[in-house]
Amino acid sequence: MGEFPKIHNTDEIPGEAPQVIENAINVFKQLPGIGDRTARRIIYWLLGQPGEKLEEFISALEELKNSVKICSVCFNVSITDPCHICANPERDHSVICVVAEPQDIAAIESTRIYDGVYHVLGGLLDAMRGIGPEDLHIAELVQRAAQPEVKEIILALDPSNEGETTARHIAKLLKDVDVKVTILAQGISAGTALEFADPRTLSAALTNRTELK
Amino acid sequence: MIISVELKNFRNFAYARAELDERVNIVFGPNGYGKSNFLEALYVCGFGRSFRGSGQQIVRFDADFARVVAKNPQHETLEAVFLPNGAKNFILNSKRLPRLRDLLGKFPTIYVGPDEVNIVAGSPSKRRNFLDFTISQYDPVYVSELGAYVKSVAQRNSALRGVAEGEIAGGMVLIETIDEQVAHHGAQVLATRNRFLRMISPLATEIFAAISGIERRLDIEYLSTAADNPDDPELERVYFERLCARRKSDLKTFQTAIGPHRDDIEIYLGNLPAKKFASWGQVRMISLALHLAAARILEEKIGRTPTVLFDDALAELDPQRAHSVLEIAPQFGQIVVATPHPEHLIEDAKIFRLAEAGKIVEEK
Ligand SMILES: [Zn+2]
Repeated sequence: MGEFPKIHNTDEIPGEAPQVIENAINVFKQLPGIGDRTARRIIYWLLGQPGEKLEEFISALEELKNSVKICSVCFNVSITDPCHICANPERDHSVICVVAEPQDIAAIESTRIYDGVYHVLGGLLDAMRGIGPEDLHIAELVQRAAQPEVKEIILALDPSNEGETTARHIAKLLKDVDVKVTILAQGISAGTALEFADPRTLSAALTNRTELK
Repeated sequence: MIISVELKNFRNFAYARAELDERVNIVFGPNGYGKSNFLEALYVCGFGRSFRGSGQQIVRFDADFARVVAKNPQHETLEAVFLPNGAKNFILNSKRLPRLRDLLGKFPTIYVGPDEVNIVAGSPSKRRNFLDFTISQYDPVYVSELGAYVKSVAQRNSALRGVAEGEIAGGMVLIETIDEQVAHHGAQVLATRNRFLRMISPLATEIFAAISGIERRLDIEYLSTAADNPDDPELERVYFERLCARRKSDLKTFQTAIGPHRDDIEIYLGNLPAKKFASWGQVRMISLALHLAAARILEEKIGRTPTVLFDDALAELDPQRAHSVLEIAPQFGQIVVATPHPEHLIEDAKIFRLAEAGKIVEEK
């Protein structure tokens, strides 16, 4: 009988990837839409790349962390505060388009027909997930809407049950505020997240918005 | 109407094919050979799901998938595929239907099984199902409103719990908003059901007279838990106010105690509640009349002849009654009957015999 060299580090279970790799996989799994298998594929792909490539990823993330701010007016993500939209005097500051998430702004901007400003709520009201009015930037919206220069609030929320609750809630809070409240016209099929609506449908919905109050 | 159907690995059928008669089809054979399974395959084409609980396995033992292919006179071919893990897929003329609700109304179907034939006296949920399953096939707005209502009630129940346990910031204000939403969708559901009852009552009266020989009026009243008068022009407001008044007690149970999900209907035969005063046989004839009337409404609304499935529903009737039901029924749809003993049913029907378990043979 020959002597077998010990190849395993004692901390590791044979057959499983080293702990550092598992850690990285667990981090990537937290990304939206990424499951265990995809995370694993990404990590092994990264491991196969030259060192400079990994540095590129690391510095991109670091830059994100160091330079991206949340706009104190509209809660959009931006590298400046206020964001480039809030700070732009060419935009119509009398119209505020209310969206759930910062990425919804990109979807509406891509229609190129909107030149007002935005307000990011940071989500939708959803009791089943414990998200109530005080978890969102709703109070800040009511404050902004009460400013005399503001004429119209456009609610651009997903046509889901949660989107409907949120729209109703905001409309109710703005009942006594002297401002027009409109909502995107139906046309976005129920269940389609705003982020994924195609620009043509979205611009039609924006043009045909209906008055809520 | 279904002109032909093909089953593969569906329950106890390895393979089966049948060309159906457009008037009356009778499927007979001993219990356990698969009569109900065959009707279930037809049902699935109408609703995209089974009339049995979802726990039971549609896919034949050890098979990779089950498939039902059905053709209608509108030159549409529906392919329904079920996987052992519960996943299912519906393909209409080679195009995958993105949502189950897109199937409704393509193969309009009325199902009368042992529970349905006792709908007058059975549990309230069966009567609500009768309304929902019939209306959903011709009214897509009802499908949306009912879906939105169910989701809103689920949100309300979560909000009640969240507030009671202090877990939702600003929850009391949120509940008020959700109450508005529940009342909005709930009032639509309620009003649509009420309109449907208005439509079906005179039809059912006529059909009941024809199959029972009894000339007495059938009246159906909607019993709403959310409003005393379902015809109230201020229905949504009345509903909302009642919901607000319930809030305190609902906060203890985390349940929404009123609304269409708790409503019922009362069926009157000649001004007396049929549940209490009608005979055993009358109760069955009323149920059959209601289902045939529902078939007529589907035909009028969709412009397609529905398939009416009698799953052991005529077996309890005396032969003469069963015969007179089947004489009249083809005016209301394509009839498919599953029965253990076909002898005394009807002469000019197409007969299918289950020769052995999972094997269907056309007799004539
Ligand atoms: Zn901003």
